[in-house]
Amino acid sequence: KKYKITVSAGHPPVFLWVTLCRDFFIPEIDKRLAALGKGDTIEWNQAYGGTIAKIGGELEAIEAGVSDMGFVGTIFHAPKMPLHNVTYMTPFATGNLYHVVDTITELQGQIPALAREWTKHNQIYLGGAALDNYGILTSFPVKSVDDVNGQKIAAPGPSANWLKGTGGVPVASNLNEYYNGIQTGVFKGALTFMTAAAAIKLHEVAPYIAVVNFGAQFAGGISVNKDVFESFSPEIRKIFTEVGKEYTRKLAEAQTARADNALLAMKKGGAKVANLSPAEQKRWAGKLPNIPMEWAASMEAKGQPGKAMLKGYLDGLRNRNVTLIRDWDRE
Amino acid sequence: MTDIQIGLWSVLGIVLLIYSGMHVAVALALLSFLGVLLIRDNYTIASKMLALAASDSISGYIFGVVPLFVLMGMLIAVSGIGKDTFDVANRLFRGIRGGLGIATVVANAVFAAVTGISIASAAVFTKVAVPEMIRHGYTPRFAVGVVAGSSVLGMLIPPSLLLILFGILTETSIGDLFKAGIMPGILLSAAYCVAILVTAYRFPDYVGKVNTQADSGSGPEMTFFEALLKLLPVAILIALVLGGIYAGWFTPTESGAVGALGAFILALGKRQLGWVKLWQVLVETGHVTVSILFLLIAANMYSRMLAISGITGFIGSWFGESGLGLYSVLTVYLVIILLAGMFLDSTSILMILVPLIYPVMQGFGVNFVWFGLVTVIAVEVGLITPPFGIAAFVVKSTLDDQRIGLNEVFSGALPYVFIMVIVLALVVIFPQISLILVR
Amino acid sequence: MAIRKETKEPGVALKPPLRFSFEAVISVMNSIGTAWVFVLLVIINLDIGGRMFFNSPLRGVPEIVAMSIVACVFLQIAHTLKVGRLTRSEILLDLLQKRLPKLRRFCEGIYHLVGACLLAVLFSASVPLFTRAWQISEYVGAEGDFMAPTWPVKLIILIGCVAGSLQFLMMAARSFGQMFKPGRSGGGDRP
Ligand code: NA
Ligand code: NA
Repeated sequence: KKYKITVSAGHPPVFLWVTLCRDFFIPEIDKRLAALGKGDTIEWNQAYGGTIAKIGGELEAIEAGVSDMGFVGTIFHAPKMPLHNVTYMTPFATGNLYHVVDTITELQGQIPALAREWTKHNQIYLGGAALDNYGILTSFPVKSVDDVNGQKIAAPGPSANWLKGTGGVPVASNLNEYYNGIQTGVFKGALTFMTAAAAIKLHEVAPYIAVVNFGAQFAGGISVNKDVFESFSPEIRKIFTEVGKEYTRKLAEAQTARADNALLAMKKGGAKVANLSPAEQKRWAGKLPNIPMEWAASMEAKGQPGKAMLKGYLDGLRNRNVTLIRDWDRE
Repeated sequence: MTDIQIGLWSVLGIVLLIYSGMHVAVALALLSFLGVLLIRDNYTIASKMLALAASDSISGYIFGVVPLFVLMGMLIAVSGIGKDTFDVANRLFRGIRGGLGIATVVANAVFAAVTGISIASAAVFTKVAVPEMIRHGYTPRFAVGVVAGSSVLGMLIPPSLLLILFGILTETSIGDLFKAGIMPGILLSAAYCVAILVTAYRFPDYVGKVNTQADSGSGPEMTFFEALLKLLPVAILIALVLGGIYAGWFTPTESGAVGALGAFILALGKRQLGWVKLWQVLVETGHVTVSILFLLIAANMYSRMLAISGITGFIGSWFGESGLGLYSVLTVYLVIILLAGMFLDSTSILMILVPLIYPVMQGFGVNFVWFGLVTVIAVEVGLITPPFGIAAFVVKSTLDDQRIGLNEVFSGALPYVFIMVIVLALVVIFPQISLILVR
Repeated sequence: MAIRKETKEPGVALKPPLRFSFEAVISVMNSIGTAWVFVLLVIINLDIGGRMFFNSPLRGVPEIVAMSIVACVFLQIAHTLKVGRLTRSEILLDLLQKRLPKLRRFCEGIYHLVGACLLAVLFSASVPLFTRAWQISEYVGAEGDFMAPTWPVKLIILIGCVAGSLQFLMMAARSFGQMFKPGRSGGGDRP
């Protein structure tokens, strides 16, 4: 049988989760279909970079069938997929992105409401992506949490919470504006992850990099329209699920490697990197209100299992031998 | 019919429907809908695509400032600073043959630094410069031509609505595009001035019966200090808008709001703005904004349909396999823009062509800041080419002089079309012209 | 630029008719959209000023601006259409006007009907977007930070579609009507 599948992503292929969709996921499916030897083939129409669905519009596009499959950035769908955004609400968890993406994938099976965030939108989750450890790039040295007091820092969306109680002033902005904004002094720094910072050469204007260890963040995943998925034979479905799992692992590997290289490249480019000591991290985390519990409570008020999600996430990390700087759920 | 064929036929359909007078946005939406309907054979999917495009495609901060850039242009047009700038430039170029023409170009270039839309430039200088030139013996054709021709500077020198739209369509830094517009803008102004000088001395009949007496006798007398005083408001606005971006008080995106506020205060201060006038300006701003943004929504539907049909990828790989080099593709693209510019307005051309060429240019790995400037200059030629040339329309309708017809305006602007094409070629061949000010 | 100089009805929005009519409704919608642009001007400058002088930007301005603009477009679409400012190329239609004025009217009528139908399709497909935004209390911004509901904008999209569609229908009816008016070849809704 011959299938026609349109794959979309809001991001262009320079982003690893799209690169690997194009260079690993799709060729691998083709390879395994051929190996299956049943004569099934897929004709792919790949439309990345927002040509079919804009960043933040992917969930609806796949739900409606405008696109059959694609990368859904859960971070842009906080109202519709609140539980997937637990990581952004839980700073100082872990910088290890394998742990983040593994835990979230594992929880898909344990917390029905989490999996329902996909099925409710008529799609099936195949594999996930995490962003590397968040830190802060500034035009002035940051050695402790006291240094951000009174400084304007670009911190879009939920990351604004990570400055609460520190005296830092979160300014709404986006990746495209960080460089110019810091260069011209609209703000003095940005909360971001290293692969993004290196890609826009942010260290040229903000050479002080503090590895604060806000944590790696779950960013989204590849999903496929449910009707399309159900039109497949069981063997093909199995192939999709398996390749999705491998995609997750490969992506975590690639993203980790790229993050290490990014930090190295920025160091070579003159950036001064400071790793905040665990004691300093503890001080920073201690200044914050209990954001995760506040989030969980507001989720519960909306009828979502926020507490179970938070506990599940943190327990998942603890089971992977992560020592939490602050045990948010046990306070 | 294959999906790609559907995509190709839709291009033809768009051209036909638009030229036969359907609203551009309706034509784009119709063919997007029909295209997806044919490709997916599913009404729900086709209609959902329209709905998603309508709710997603213009919900961004940058779209929010489109009306503010338009408003800034409108407020500046009523504030009277165009006239002051012209008066000073006029005094400055006194004694030079064709001095009033040169003054118009220079004043337009300065004015361009505070307005983002060319229609504002065209309207203001038609009122300010054309009567002055005719009074001093310039031919009406030359007078309206120089105004129409130099109005394009309004959207080349930053801030510029077209550069903003290009930045949106291709996710290119608008700040960089703005910086890149400065040198080509100055180059084009200089080329205009040289052309006017040469014409005035070599072909004085074309310019008119301007004599040395006319050269020296125009415009109000003013001292150096008075001139400075007249330039002060425009200088403050330029400092506020461009200076503010460079000094880091705000981002290019925000400069529309700051500029609009500045122009508002200025117009109030100069007592040019009552409640009725302000409301008129706001209503006009709304209509211009809606016509641009609704088109943007429809163009977004259309580019989604093209992506679903697979034609976007197909064109990309076709160009890749055809072995055509960057410059061959670019030439074809620019010629298509120039032709389209004869019949379509600049926003529509950007919306229709840029999404098609985008993946191809990405394949070539071009610098999109440079490519944006090239595209915008080519698109702007269409402002002054017949039969549909919006700058010429504005000049004609602002003029209120039955003796000067639309043809007079178009033929007067023709020399500037050639100069623009030459400058376009220079910017293509020497990317440094645009990129020198960009990091 | 998508601009045509309009000289026929200057200040058409300045004198809102007092009686309740479709015109009055789209005029009021247009006025709300118009005034809203001024509100945007104020809040963006407050944000910049607060950030520059008091180190305290207004949180949520980008989100509000981004949402507002969609609302403004749909609030003003019907009126923009009515005053003939939606972009179109009339070169061929004007040629047609001289030879076959009735054919011109017929074409225009068809075009306007198509516009009405498309906006109706857009309306029906946008209804679920509104109901969902309402049901899940969809918001922009972020939990713990600035949050604003999105349903008002989705509702305005629906209202704008209805108004625009009706406006298109009325224009279509007028175009077809003019086909059968003897002795009148020009006029219409543009100067
Ligand atoms: Na300008
Ligand atoms: Na033209």
